[in-house]
Amino acid sequence: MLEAGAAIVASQARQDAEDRAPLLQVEDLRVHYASTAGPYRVVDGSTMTINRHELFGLAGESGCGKSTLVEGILRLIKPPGYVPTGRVLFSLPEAGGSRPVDLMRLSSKQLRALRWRHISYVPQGSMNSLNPVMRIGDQIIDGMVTHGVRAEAARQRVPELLELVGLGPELAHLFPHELSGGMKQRAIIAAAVALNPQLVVADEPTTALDVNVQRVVLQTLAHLRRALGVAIIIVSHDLPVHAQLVDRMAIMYAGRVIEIGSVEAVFQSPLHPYTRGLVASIPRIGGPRERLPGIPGVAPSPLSWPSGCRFHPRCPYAMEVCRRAEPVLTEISPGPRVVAGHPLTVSPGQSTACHLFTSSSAERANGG
Amino acid sequence: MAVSTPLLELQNGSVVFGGGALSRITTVAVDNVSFQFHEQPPRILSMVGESGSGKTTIARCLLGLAEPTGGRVLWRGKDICRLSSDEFRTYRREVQAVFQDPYGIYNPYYRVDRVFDVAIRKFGLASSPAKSRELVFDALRAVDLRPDDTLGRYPHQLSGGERQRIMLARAYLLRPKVIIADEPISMLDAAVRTLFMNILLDFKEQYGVSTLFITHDLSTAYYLGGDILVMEHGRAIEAGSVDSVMDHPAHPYTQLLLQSVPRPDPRQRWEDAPPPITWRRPATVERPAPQRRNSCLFADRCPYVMEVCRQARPRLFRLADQQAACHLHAETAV
Amino acid sequence: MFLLNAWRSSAKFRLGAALLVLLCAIAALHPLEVRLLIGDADPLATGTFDIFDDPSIAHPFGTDRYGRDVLALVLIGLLNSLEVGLLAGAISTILDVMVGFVAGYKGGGVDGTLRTVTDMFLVIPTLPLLITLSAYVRSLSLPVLGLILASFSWPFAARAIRTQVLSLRSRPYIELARMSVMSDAEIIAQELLPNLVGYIALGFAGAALGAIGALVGLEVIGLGPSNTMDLGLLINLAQQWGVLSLGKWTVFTAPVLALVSLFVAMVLINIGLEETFNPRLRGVTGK
Repeated sequence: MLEAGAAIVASQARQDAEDRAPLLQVEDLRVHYASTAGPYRVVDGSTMTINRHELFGLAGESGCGKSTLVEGILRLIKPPGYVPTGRVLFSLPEAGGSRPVDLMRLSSKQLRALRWRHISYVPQGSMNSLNPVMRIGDQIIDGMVTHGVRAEAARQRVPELLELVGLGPELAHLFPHELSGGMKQRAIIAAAVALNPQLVVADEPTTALDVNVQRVVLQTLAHLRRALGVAIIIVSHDLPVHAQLVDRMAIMYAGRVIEIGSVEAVFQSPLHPYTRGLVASIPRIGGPRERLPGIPGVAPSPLSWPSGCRFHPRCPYAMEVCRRAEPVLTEISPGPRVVAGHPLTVSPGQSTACHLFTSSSAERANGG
Repeated sequence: MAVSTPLLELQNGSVVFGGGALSRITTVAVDNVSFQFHEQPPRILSMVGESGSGKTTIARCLLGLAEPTGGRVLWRGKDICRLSSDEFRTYRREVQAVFQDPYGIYNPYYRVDRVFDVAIRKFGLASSPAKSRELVFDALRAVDLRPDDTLGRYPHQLSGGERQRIMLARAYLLRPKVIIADEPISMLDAAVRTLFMNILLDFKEQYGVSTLFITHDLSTAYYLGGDILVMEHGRAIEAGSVDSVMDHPAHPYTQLLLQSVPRPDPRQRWEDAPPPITWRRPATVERPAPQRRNSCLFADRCPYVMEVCRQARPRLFRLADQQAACHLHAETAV
Repeated sequence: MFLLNAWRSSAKFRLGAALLVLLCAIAALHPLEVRLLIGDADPLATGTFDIFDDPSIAHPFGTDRYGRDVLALVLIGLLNSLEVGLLAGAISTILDVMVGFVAGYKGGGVDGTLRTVTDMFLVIPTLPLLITLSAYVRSLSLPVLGLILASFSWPFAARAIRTQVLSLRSRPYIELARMSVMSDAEIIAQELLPNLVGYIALGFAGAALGAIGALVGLEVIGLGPSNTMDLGLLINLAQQWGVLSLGKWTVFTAPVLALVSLFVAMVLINIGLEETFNPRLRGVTGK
């Protein structure tokens, strides 16, 4: 039932993603942390769009700010953190269509109405925060009732939800410690989609799980998109996870989004030198026996962001302008081009924040 | 030609927890596992398995931090529990460790320099401070770290990748013969992982250092090349060269693991391939089966399970290119 | 190093430490001060001055029943109280460090034995035992007194230290130390001790405070050793003489003030140290 036609439906879903309307538009969101030494600019300028029914990946190494970014989007930042600027437009469905609301401007009452019904969040390590003395089914029911569903209706929905994530209905009677890590994670995901939200945000949903369990959880997420049409933002430092799952992805470095594109474009033809270095560092089973280069140097911390482009100290193609000015995330016109000696094919919708693509001195460097 | 004495050997190692006067429940963490490292040729052996498969317990036994309840750990042919204090000191020098946690391995009270100073002092490697500094600089260079950026700092001032590389530098300083690395890169970022693995490869090629590389990530095992040992619930269920085992895995569990590794290629996706075994099985089976001595522990999850699998424990059958503990291969075994 | 941390991060510690240093300085300089007050006379000698003089320039806190300058007595008393407290604190700390570290690190049978000994001492009711003791030994010297008091305060810190050592000993850096062929003694002294200096200091402050308090408690009810002039004895004497009803209240308040200052100083140090080492007690800094 699940296997039959799954492949066809999947490619259909991906096809449909092309002409989907935007669901969430993040515009220059920043998250800073106040300190006696001045603000820590943990997330400093991020702009991206997530479409309906889309699987969107947010990738980057530890410390790049991706978790903080989604917390900012979901209005979960607590003092001394604060959001100095930025808009997050969410297409809130209403009778006969939808209207965009700025999440940053909602009152806490409005946010409460939004959460779980329209946007769900599965934080990192949430499988460990299940109540150990409540049965799984009861915890899911609890979540639904808190958000306005009648208890009887909630109870009836539980077996259906468990089946959506590939768990048997008998699991509702078990306690968390009787389930394995992967099963707990799937139960949490089931709770997150209980009210049929438009968007689910999952932060590192498979870290700390064994590899075969990881596959099950990731395929569960893909299945949910097919079955419910829900859009999912997956935050993960593990690039192969994105390769296997998402439609489009964004790469973050040092608090800024530095590349956005379809997953094929990012892996086949990465634009930003950091993305290129990252993709080139992944060992591939069955690949040729040769040394991978890695990226020399150390990722900077919010205590001391480099000037200009934050990647310039580690970039093999750094130019003078890179030291002085921060590059802006720009959509690059599609088509073939040569950048720093590398032939690339830019796909539609691919954006990057790199002077090699935008500044005039780059044109000379690229030999264009 | 006489076979030389292995440098480091685990001989029928078993570790059973519990089962004393106060606890009736026994857990078999390691069940009759054997392998060896010879001085020549040096090799990298990747030990792969899920959490709870016994990998860390084996590492601790090899390092003398835990004692096997069955079998022995031999260093140059001698049981490590029976070494004289001089021999023990040499063993401690020749067998070095890199652990998983780049944070906890440093005493937060001291600067990172101290890990070198203690090693040099306790193993008597330098006769003067000048010589000592030379050794430290040399070690840092071998792992591509600059002394100015590293020495004199406290652990919290360095990144996880730098801290792990300092541990490698410390190991290098002691000129070990074997490095036992227990999930050394799982807490590091992708780019730094590659650097770390490259250093291990350099150590093997340039200094003849063997490594036991414990990992749950098959792609890192592939990258390092060499040999692989697949562990499941404390048992070694497949062994052979990385190329053979990953190209044609003989044990269904190895096949499951390989299927589950996310490939970094959007053109080769899972959804284009049939779902893995565990999806089809009832959900409750994901929990590990209770330990049974006389059966294959993978039987409950195996799509090819037969009668005999639940009645007799399969031994490591020797096949053309590898060994696999699976009754499927009982007939074709050499 | 940790003291610097405490100094920097806790205002209470700063206040308490400053106050204590001041009191110690005053106590240490008592010969000079006494000379300033009453010239070459022996402050403890009776009949030097008039009985129960009211406070004046010459005698800021008046004189007592035997014609002794009260302030001079308080200065001597402060010194003696401090001595007892610090001595008891030191002995107690040496004991609790040894027991706590060895029990925590060694584990097994050694731990079991040491824990039993610790618990035995813990359970002994201190005050009744001290009262009984004092009935038999009326004249104890300071060092002996310090030793006795220390023997009742060491178990508390020993337990705390043992627990901390237990949690630290399975840390990876301890395993690394074992693999670098460090002996148990070296590991305890070089790896564990520096990380626990905070707890040790806390134990010291607690023991010192407890000793001073126990001594004062005994003396105020008249069961303390009577050969040493310290603050508790002064208070007891003041009570005996009924100075409050006589209107000579400075004879009572002077030693009480000194005692309270000492206590406040030590309590502030205690709290300040705790705040430094127990992150949950600190205010939210957002770190």
